[in-house]
Amino acid sequence: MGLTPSSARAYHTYEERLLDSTAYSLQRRRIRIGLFKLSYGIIDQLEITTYTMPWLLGLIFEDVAPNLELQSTFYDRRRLALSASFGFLTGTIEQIENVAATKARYFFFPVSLAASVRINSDVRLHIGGMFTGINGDANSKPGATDVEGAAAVDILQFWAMTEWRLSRVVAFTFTVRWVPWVSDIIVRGSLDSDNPDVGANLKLEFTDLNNAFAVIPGFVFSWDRANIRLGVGYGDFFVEGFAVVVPGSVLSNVSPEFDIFVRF
Amino acid sequence: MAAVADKIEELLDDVEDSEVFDEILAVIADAQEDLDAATVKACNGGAMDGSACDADEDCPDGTCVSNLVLNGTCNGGANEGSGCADDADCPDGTCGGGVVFPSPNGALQAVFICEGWDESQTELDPANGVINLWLTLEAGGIGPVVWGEVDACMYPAVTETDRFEASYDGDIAVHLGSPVSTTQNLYELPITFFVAGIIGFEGAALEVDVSFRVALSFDEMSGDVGLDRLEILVEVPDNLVQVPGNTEYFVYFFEVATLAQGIRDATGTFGCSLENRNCSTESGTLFSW
Repeated sequence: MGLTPSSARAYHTYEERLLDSTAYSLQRRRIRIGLFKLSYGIIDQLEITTYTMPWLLGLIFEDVAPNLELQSTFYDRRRLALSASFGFLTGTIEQIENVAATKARYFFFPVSLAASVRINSDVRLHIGGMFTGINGDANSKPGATDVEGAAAVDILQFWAMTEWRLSRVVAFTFTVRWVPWVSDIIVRGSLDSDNPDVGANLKLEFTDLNNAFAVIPGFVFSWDRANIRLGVGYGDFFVEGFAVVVPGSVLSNVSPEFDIFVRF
Repeated sequence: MAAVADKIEELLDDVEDSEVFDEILAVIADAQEDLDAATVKACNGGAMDGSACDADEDCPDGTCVSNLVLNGTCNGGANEGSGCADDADCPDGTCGGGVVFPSPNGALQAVFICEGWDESQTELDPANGVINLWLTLEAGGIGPVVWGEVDACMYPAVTETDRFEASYDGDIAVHLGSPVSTTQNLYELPITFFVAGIIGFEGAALEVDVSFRVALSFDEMSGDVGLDRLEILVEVPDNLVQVPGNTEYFVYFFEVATLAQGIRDATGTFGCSLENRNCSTESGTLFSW
């Protein structure tokens, strides 16, 4: 008789697959609770996720920052899986300095496609692309004069990850991320709200992010229920949950990857 | 030719009397002033990188560029809480919180509610019409082309002694000649206008589709704008073109101070008189109508 310990569910097996940066979704009624993500498998091919960091930021600034992502693995066969996902993230940041109060609202709309290919029982290749539309606007009140501005930028990024299962617990990952295109930022501001009402539409180039990239070797450890993802690489910092990229100069070109989560 | 001359005379009168060019130019000048108030000149590159400057000579091995500051606010001093571009705008205080856009490119949109004809009206009323103009931003200055539309704008055309009811409804395009800085006095430039719409003056309406150029004078003490020279681009009627099938133009000019008038085209310049219905050179009358 072969009894399959329930604790074996979380180990790297054919059924239990990496979820981050892959085309795979949580299976039906499975839950993932992690430092950065909370996910639930609605059905085998559909997973719903909310990222925790935006909510935390919202708590700090005393304003909710709802975000949601739906991922559907619409094609899942033995060797190939394909998925599509879309989501939104919105929130408000308010800053009061002396007599000036500035409120900035942001809205992110990421859409992605991914593919996961099982090369053999130990090796998988995952590739994907994400397009994120970002809108933001700010309302600043110095005294009695309202000054408003808005900005918009679109970001296209691709990734490829090789996963090599070294054991039931340890998988090695090698991830490459790249931003081949960033739209010019269009910033809308007001110069004067009297008569004439003069508004400015400024076009800025986001040169720091054009061709942003990161190369990140890492490991994923999967035990009974707990999982740890660890990696450190070189390049720009791709922020999960915000679908944005922080220029490498900010973190001395160190691109970390870290997460702790449980699956059950 | 008689019909053309009559049309020219009508255009000259209505453009000069209605001062439609002054109404449009005033909006552009206001937008330029707002842009200047939000602009800070600073050295880009060289030993004085980031320092305030007025011209490239102030920036050894660098250039003096115009940066746009949005959302700056005075902290402290007499202007606390007011908008600002740099510390100079905040006596006894500092300017902070602004976002600096270096040498920006883009566009400005100026929406102006017209004054109307009622002198006693103090509140802005969109029923008096709206001027909606787009200006381009080029490296922090204003690009030469301005365009937009005027929606039934009613405004007073004021002389030293009288106040007339003028209006314009239609499209407008303006060419400033070249990119201008935020401090350039627009009234010193010869400016070309294109209007396609209806000019109204004291109850009369004239449908226009014409380009004209003005040379203006500006009295800094009184703020009065005077018209020195008006040039109208006139299309030669098909039956009068020298080369059949061609589209030909001439410029009819009018000097306000000397009352001199004439035609300028590819063949030269000729004095004309719409009143006497003739044009001539120094050697004698060329043609009459």
